Amino acid sequence: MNNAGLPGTGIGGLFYLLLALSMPVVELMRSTSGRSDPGRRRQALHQFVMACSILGAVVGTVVAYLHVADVPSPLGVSGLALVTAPVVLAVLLLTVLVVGLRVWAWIVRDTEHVA
Amino acid sequence: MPLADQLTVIIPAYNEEASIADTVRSVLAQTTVPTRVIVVDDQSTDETAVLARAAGAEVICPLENTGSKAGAQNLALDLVTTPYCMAIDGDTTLAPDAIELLMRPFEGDPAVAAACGFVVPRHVSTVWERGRYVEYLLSFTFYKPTQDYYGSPLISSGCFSAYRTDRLREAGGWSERTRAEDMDLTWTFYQAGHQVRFVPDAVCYPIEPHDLDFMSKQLKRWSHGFVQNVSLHWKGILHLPFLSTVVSVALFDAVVASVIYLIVLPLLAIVLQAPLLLLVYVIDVPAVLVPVLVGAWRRGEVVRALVSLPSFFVLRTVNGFFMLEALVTEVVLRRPLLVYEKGH
Repeated sequence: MNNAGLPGTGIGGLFYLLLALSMPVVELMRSTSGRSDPGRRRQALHQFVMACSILGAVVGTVVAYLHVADVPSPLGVSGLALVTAPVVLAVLLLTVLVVGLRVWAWIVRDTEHVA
Repeated sequence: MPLADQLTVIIPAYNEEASIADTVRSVLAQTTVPTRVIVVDDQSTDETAVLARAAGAEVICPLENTGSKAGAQNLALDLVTTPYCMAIDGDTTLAPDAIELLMRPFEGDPAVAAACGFVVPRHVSTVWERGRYVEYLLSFTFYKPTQDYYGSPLISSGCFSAYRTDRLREAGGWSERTRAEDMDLTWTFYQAGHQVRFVPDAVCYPIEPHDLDFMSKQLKRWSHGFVQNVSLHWKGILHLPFLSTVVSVALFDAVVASVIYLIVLPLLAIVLQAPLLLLVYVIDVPAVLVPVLVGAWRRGEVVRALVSLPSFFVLRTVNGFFMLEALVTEVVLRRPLLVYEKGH
């Protein structure tokens, strides 16, 4: 879910997590070109800390699951693979989606330019 | 001069007698009171107009029901003479300093065409209100500030947003071509090169759907509105990298999630006789919990948020049903939702 009223699988969540984790780098780049201000820096730090906390909570849950829960996998897959496979799949899907979109935008702009 | 002194507040209302007086009073009790408060009584069959007038608002009544919130708001927009205007739902109250804070992004930045605030349900009691409460905490604590940082909040929420009047008029006012006029307007602003800002400290309190009947109407409108706006604007927003990526991710996520929640998971659990697979419905609890608790902690509502958390997962699955329904009806069957049905 990445907006109220819209369901989500976690790909949207992952997208925003990566955006928030990138904020210090973005802010650093803005600072070097003189386009940063205290308000933006505070916002970036706040979102970055929250993103790190989310990441920590997820990793912590996975570690706890692997150590504590002795639940046999429903699909016969090992615990680590069961937990990491959806994450890897989500990252791959997100990458394909974002790259595909930019390629599409480029093609459409090129086509419009030619027309 | 504070910008709120140059502001007209527009409140569209249809049968809002239970809440309109509170809404008007909360506007008039602001730290900076707007110049004018116009309630558009859209041919209510109850005492909305009387109560709004008694609370101190100027009330206008169209000759017949305009058929939508956008229609009612446009009627009042014709009367606006101030440089700024604001739309607030008839069932929404404001924190005392909400308007003063919401107007700040307009100061010294002519590129800002609209600003929106933080939304918190006024009543948090039923499973639907609780689900929405958690949705809002998550969205307004983590997603919307992130969108704002990168310059493009996805929606300037219709229940509480401020606008530069000239920019709003240039955009043609609130369009009635989709069922989500706020999303339509926001994306139109971006395409015109304007900015929209999110102000997390400006808080409003709408009444959210308390039962499945009202929630269904609202979710149907939102889902169809989202699909309609994607269909309408996709070409226009494609050259805006951040917005088009946010919209694409949201659309992809919503479609895939709906199919997984409503079809894939139940089927797999039955076919494989693996009930543990149903844990996938709540697999992201830790990720959801962090921003929700941060948002709740700031408001002193941690216990309320924790109690409400399970409702979020119920509402998310219901959201999936309406998203699939909207996609099938709008895209496959080509039967667009044309009627604006109020669901709070």
